[in-house]
Amino acid sequence: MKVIIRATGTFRERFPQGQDRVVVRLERPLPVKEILTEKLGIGTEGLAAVVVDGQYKSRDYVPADGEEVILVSPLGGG
Amino acid sequence: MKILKARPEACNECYACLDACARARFKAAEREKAALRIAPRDPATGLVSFITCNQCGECIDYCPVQAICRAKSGVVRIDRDRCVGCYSCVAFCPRGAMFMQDDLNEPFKCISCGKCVRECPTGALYLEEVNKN
Amino acid sequence: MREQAAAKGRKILASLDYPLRPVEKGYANRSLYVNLTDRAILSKPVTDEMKEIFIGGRGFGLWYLWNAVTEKTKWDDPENEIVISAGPIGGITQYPGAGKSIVVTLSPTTGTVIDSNVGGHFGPLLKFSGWDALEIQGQAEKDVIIFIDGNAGRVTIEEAGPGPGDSHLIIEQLMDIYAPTEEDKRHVSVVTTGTGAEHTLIGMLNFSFYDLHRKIVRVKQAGRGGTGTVFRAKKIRALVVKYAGVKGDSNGPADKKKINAAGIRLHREIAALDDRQCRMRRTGTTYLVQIMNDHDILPVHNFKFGSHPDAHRLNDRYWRTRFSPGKADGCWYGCTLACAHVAMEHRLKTGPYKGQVVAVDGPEYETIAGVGSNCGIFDPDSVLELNFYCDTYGIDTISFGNITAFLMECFEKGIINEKITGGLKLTFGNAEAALELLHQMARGEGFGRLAGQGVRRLKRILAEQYGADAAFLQDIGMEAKGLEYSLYVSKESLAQQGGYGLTNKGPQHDEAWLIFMDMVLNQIPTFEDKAEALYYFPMFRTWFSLNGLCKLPWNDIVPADNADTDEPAKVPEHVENYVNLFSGVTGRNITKEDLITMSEAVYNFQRVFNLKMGFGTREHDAVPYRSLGPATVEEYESRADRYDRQLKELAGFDPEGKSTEEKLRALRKYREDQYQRLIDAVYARRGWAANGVPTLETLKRLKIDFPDVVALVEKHLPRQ
Repeated sequence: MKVIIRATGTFRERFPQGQDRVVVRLERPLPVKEILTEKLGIGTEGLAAVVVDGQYKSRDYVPADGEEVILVSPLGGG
Repeated sequence: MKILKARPEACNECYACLDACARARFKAAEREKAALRIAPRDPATGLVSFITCNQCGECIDYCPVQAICRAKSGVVRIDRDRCVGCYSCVAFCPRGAMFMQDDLNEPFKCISCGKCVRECPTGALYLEEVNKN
Repeated sequence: MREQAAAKGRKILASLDYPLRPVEKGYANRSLYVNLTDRAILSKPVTDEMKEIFIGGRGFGLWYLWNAVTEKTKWDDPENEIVISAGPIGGITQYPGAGKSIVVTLSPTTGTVIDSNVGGHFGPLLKFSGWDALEIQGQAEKDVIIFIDGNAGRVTIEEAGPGPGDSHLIIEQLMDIYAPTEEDKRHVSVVTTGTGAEHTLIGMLNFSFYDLHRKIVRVKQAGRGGTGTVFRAKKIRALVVKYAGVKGDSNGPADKKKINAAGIRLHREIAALDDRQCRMRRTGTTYLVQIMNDHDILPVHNFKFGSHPDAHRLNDRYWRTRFSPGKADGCWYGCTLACAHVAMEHRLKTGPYKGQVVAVDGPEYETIAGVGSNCGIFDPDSVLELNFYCDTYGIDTISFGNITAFLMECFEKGIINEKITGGLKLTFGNAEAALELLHQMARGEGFGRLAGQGVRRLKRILAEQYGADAAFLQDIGMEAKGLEYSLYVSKESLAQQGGYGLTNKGPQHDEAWLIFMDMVLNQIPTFEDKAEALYYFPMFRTWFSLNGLCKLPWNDIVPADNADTDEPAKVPEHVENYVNLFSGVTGRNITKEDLITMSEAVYNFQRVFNLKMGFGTREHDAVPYRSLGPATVEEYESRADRYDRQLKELAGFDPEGKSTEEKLRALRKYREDQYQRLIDAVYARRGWAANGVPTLETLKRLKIDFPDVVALVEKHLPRQ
């Protein structure tokens, strides 16, 4: 199975230069937290929220095959 | 310049160093007013650890009023008259060696005076001469 | 004393000697009243009732202004006042973001009361000099300076005499006079504005502080609503306060221990986490540029779009290389969030100071988005140049950016042309034209003179004088209540539409910024959820302006475990800090619920104030359609998939085979209806009648049922 991870804001800097999206191939479903620490090695420090299909999810959310997960960095906004 | 260093293996936790420091700086009997700390023994090593200032001067740039500066001797000092008591230096000190107490407006730190060294019965503290740079 | 003034070459017009006494529990317990018409200078007591109900800061400003003006008062009438107050917490040095001043006056662009929250050292030094608020009424004949010497205990109104008209030069001159030695400089703060404030309605006020590390004077801006324009109408050149002796207990806290604990806790949090969160210490609010662009909410081309391929040129990666690094960039002592950055050595390419090398304070996010992306300008040097000139001319960058973008759209649509603009080619991205427009505004000449009237008046002028379609201009001119929009595209967030539209002063994000909770995270899906957010957050944020606090240390840094708390958007641990700060300073023990009620009283009072000035009812909460949805075919088609899907899924309208115009109309009908339903829900939650007027029960509950308030409200409440 594969999951698409998209970075926004300062999380982009932990992705390869110029990329805001990576496709992760998984043998079995894993929570977002583990995908970030174990598969991508970028950690969850400073991860404020996870958004899947326009919905807020916790960092323990387990994405389904083909789902896109948006990583939201902390922001106070205006 | 001189910096305060420790031999944790020699410490018998008598706290004479803290008492001497607090007395010298504030004429106070409270050990919390000493400009160094002894952290409890680590069960793994059986040793205490000392929190002491190495006069790195990192705090100088964090002070909004330039109340912290390096004296000619190389030691980093706080000008208490200039200090506005914001405690930025306390939080940003990389060694946790800038201290504050609620009844004092200004933070305080070690100035390598050596009083603690003289009071230590076991030689667990000493002053070492290091290159200023 | 008189000799000293003579040495300064200034004639003293009036003076007051006052006894010095310490601040007690956050209050000096008196306010300084200055009347520039009859040159009266008075000390007024601050009453317990004022402290109980209005707290300080914005609350005090509203209370003094309410008593000073009638429903007929206009912004340039002598009885209008400028009130500056820091609030009880303002001036503590242990907690980040605690040096704010709040300016309150009747606004030239909205016609009603405006409040603007600003950094710099003026508010705290004013309080330590012995004054909770400075209340200025009347109008001088010739330019004056009001000088408060907080160590000598003397206030003087001085003839300003000849001198420069722009902020950076005025401040330089006044620092030489009032702070002749290097040691004096940090004890002096100047409030001033520039030539732009004199010739436009969007003038702002610069509040200074001295940057000891770089040895330059820095400024922060009370930007919104034309406070600088009122200042110049009163013929004030500058306010100067001097107070030497700020210490950790200058604010006279009731229990300093509580403040210390909260301060150390937040300082440590910032030290440990800021690098991994918003990096305020390194690049300030500029981090928002990329995030807003990523989520399609960065205003581009007068809010038509939410992103642009060139936006990265203005993001924090660039500013990291351009800002001068500094470890103590707070705009008041102890602000370790330290977002007040500066770009050194900018060589000016245009205008009266062309060729000079200057330091530019900022830019901050709002300025980058306002004078940058919203005008289609993506060249950072142009953004710096616009920022510098707006600051020194005393012009609000947010309003300037909106006006320019609006005129650029009008120009590209052919509503105005080079004949009307006097040769300015106001196309999106034309930085040169934007700068020339700004210089004209400052000189009060040419098309700039017209532009300086603000978007609301421009809508009318362009329709009346140049035959423009008034309805179209209303749709695309980004102002509500006469105030230009701050810089977030609210089209896809109903809650944010309300966050802008249902404000007291006009669309400024400092009341409610719900766009992320609502649009990106979808955490407040129902009308009730949104109404609750539009109750809680505006009240919570109002509290900062009552106390002299900055919003940023609330949620631009959060504890490591904040995401795992019940309500991450509220940042529960920081709310606890505020409760402790307030009781630590004032000795009044409060709960986090009290904090909301305190704000609610002042917030509702401000709503009633609007009513007094002829606004404050439902029709004044209307917004331009572009803040609700795509106003043009071009906008619709740029995000056609999104809008088609919404029509089908939400509005029950099949877009198949329909023209863009038909779809645009259907979407508009749906979205305007949603906005009205939101208003109903929010009014109910806030305790207001369906026409937007606070009910008598609400006034009683909040203890603001003063006889004149009740009489006014009764006239406007719908009959039962």
